Amino acid sequence: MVDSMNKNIETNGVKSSISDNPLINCQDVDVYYGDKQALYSVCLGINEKEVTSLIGPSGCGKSTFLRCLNRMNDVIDTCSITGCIKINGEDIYDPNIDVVELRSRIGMVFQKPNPFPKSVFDNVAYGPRLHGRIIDKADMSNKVEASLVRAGLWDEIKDRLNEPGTSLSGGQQQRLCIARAIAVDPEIILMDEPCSALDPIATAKIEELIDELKTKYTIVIVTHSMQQAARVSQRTAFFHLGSLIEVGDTENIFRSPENEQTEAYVTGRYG
Amino acid sequence: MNKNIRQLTLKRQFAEKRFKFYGQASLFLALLMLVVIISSMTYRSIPAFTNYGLNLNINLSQKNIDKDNINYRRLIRENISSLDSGCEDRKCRREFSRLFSLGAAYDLKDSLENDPSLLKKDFNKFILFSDDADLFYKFGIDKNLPENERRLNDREISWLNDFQDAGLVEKRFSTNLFTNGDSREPEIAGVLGAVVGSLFTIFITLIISFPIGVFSAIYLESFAPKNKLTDFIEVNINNLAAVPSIVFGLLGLALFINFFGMPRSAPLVGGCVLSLMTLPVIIIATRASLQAVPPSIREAALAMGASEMQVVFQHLFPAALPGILTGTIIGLARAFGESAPLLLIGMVAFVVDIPGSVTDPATALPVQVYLWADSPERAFVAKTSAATLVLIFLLIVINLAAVILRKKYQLKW
Amino acid sequence: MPHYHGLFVILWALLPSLALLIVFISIDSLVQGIIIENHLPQSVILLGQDEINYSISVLKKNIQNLPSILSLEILSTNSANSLYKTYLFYRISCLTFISFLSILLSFLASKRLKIRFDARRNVEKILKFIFFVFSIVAVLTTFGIILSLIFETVRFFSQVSFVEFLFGTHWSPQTAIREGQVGSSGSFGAIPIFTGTLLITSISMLIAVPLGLYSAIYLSQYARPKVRNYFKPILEILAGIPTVVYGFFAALSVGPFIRSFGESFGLTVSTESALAAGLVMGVMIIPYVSSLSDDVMSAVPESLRDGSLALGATKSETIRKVVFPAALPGIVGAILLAISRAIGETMIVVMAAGLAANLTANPLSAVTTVTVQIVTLLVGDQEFDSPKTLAAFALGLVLFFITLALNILAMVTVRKYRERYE
Repeated sequence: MVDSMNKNIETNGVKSSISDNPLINCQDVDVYYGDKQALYSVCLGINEKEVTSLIGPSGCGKSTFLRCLNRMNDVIDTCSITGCIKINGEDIYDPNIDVVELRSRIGMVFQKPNPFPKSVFDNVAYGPRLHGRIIDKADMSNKVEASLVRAGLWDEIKDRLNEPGTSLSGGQQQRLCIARAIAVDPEIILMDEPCSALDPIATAKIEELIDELKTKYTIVIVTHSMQQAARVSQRTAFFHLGSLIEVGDTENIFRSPENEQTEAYVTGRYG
Repeated sequence: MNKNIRQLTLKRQFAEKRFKFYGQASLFLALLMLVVIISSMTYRSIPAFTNYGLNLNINLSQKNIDKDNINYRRLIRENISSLDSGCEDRKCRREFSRLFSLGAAYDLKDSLENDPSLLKKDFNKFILFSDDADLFYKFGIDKNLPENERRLNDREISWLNDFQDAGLVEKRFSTNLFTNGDSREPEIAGVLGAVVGSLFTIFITLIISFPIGVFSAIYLESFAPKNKLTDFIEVNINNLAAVPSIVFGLLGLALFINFFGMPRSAPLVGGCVLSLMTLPVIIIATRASLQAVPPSIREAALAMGASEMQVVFQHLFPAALPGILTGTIIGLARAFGESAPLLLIGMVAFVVDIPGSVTDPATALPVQVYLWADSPERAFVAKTSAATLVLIFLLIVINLAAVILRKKYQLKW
Repeated sequence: MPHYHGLFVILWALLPSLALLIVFISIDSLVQGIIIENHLPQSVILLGQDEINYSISVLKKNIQNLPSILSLEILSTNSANSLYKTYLFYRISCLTFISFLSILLSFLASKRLKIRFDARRNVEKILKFIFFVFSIVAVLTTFGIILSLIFETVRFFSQVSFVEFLFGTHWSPQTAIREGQVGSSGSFGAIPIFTGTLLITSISMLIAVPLGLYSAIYLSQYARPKVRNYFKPILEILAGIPTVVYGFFAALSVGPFIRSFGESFGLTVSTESALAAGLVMGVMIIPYVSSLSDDVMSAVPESLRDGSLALGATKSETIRKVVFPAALPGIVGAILLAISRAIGETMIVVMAAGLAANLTANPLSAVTTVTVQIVTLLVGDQEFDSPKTLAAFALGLVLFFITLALNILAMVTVRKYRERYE
């Protein structure tokens, strides 16, 4: 069941435009680490098949919010979440939801590339093997190849598939992680500052990749580089001190932000 | 296709639960073993803290007793015989008096010497039973076994029953274990000698291994040049820390006893051997403590014009001292519980008198446990268990001291 | 800085003399032996080496007391007097020499003191040298161990063939008591001892590795920090219990229990079964496996775990497929160290395992181990130079090198693991 909401919603005095089918819909999300509150009543919709970027100064809660979407915050003992996050209309924090299955539908790429100390092939095949959707060896090979192709890495390592994933360069490792995430056929890919540990050339390659990927996947990317957000995303959400200050089309946020704080941030006055 | 996925998912969920269960079960089993061992020892040691004895009324006033020449054993025997043992021959009388502890004679001697007025009047004395009789009252005896396979024959059993019927048998709480030295008689054997021996040994260990260990560590940490020799020394220390303790015993035997001619079974030798074992532990702990001191302290002191050595001894060392002491205490605790090397250098002496110096023959508490465990008398089972509890208790005390020391003096950087 | 000047003189006065004193004390026994041997009458020498050794050891005990020497009636009055005087003279000259040295050095040292003499630097140099010497003690100990073991082992192999020791399957060290008995009636084939050690060590590993690893997994990956902080030290208590206690428990409770349990199934079980000793030893070793494994698994970067979880893996899959393989070298190192500990364990096996060198793989029978034999051969009457006593050193040498090899292997594997993540 897909919700169709075609209204402008005013939340916290913030105007946001939500298109007809927000794939991910968050209402009043509060996140606490122990007694400390990290996110305050965040309401945000993420649209399908486009790139949404989350920007803001460090410590403003963007990564925390990202991790809520695939329930990775569950791993942290002291973290508690209230509010409603729905993906495809399903409340992902519903007790009946299998977290493991949920995560297999959402891919995540981390700030520092984290390939497993296994071969490149095994890295990419890890997800599909676990989920048991592909059993045939030939099918698996094809899957790995397809994922690596789509991640733009195939040409560089097609004859090095048995080498450990950790022996690649930083940029290659990150693309390997993207290939790994793609291999499980997710609907959504979450990226937490994927380029912050990479050099400019590798960064450019990844940004190109993101642009290609958005035709097939819904992408949410956290970035501390406004230039990157401007280059890569269609919608941008600005966070500050745990609150969502403004969200809108990327062009509008950067050219004509409605909120003072947004303007101050994007013009470089702080952060 | 979807059904297979569903099945796989269920399998995976079940595997997850099972895996977590294995983890919990393993931890539980390990801890259970700890509980089992401690409670087994505790349970078995209970009989060691009580002694059965005879409330004997002794009247010496009627007899002509030469004060300077008293045969205490005979005294007891005569007074006991008055309980109508029905004995005619010597063998029977000897059997009868063997029901009572040999220590009883010494006990009586002490009482009479402390209070000579007792020679003139009636008094009651608590005469300890020997271990066989004591066990009879505590646990009974299997009468179905043929007489010669039992520790007590029928006649002895009937005597013991008579005593009980006459209301003369009493059970008293005893602290023998803590106050006496070793003895062949289980009912009066105690660990005091072994504890003192252990303390002497650990004392020697401390005064040898602490200075050498601490200064070696200080040297390696602050003064040693980074060259191959230093590496070699460090490798040696790390290896020594993992050498089996019995090899140190062999070294002690070959070097200290055979070559240096030190006296066997003296805490001095035991301490030397154990100090070689404890040395790597202290060195490693000291180095770790020194490394934990922030470099800013060193830099500040140097900037004020202190020499390297002054920095070390006036600043680093005091700051690292709690950690060093903690590590040393833990190392000494390990040495306290060691027995294998001491066996080889002969600290297995049967010591009745409490050792008075580090060169007197002595034994150590863990060795005492080992020796008692080997004894055939059943009564030693309880005593040995009790001795293990004493050993564990002392170790807890030592380790607690280390923990408290660490908590109290731990400087937060 | 005046105290440094005083310290300078004191150090020079005391330290060399102290060192010499230690040397003299150490070789005292040796010197006694030499002096005595030179005084022994022909009549004793003719009686043979054993008689000589006995006389020497007895005279050593009494060498400082002339009446006692005389009462022993080994030496003639003249020899006794000479012996006593010679030793006395030796001691007095040593002490005199040391005192003289001390005085001389303090004189020379004080001469060097001038107003601009940098006493502090010199004192510190001396102290550094002392500390350096201290740090050599560890090296000396290792060398001492190796040398003394090798020395005695070489003497052993002059009496028993190398091949028989390493490959023989019959171990029964009762040797000839009287001289003249041809050959030793004892056989020193050590294979049954090695297999016994192997059997008991294997049993203990079968207990310690699964229990230790799973406990470590639970504590490091599943348990909440409070639980972990509470139970990890408690688990380490298992390693702190003295091994005599374990041995006693094994001999008293576990052995008989296994025996009656097995016999209720109609099996022949010894009270000193390898199973009993191995079980208890396994329990003792659990913390060796679990502590180290816990540390290495906790050290696996969280990003790897997060990466696996984000791909839709369960916690156990993440542990089995990512964390554990990543930590494997460290875990292997921990297991190697645990094996080394098990092989070197003495008290548990002495008290719970047997003395008979059985060549068997049956865990229900009694076997003996290297450590048990070392103790058995040396506790009791020792005849020096008999192959029986020397065999203990040969076994000790084997034990030392095997545990050394295991420890080095463990260190190398752990270091390789550390290189991966640091």
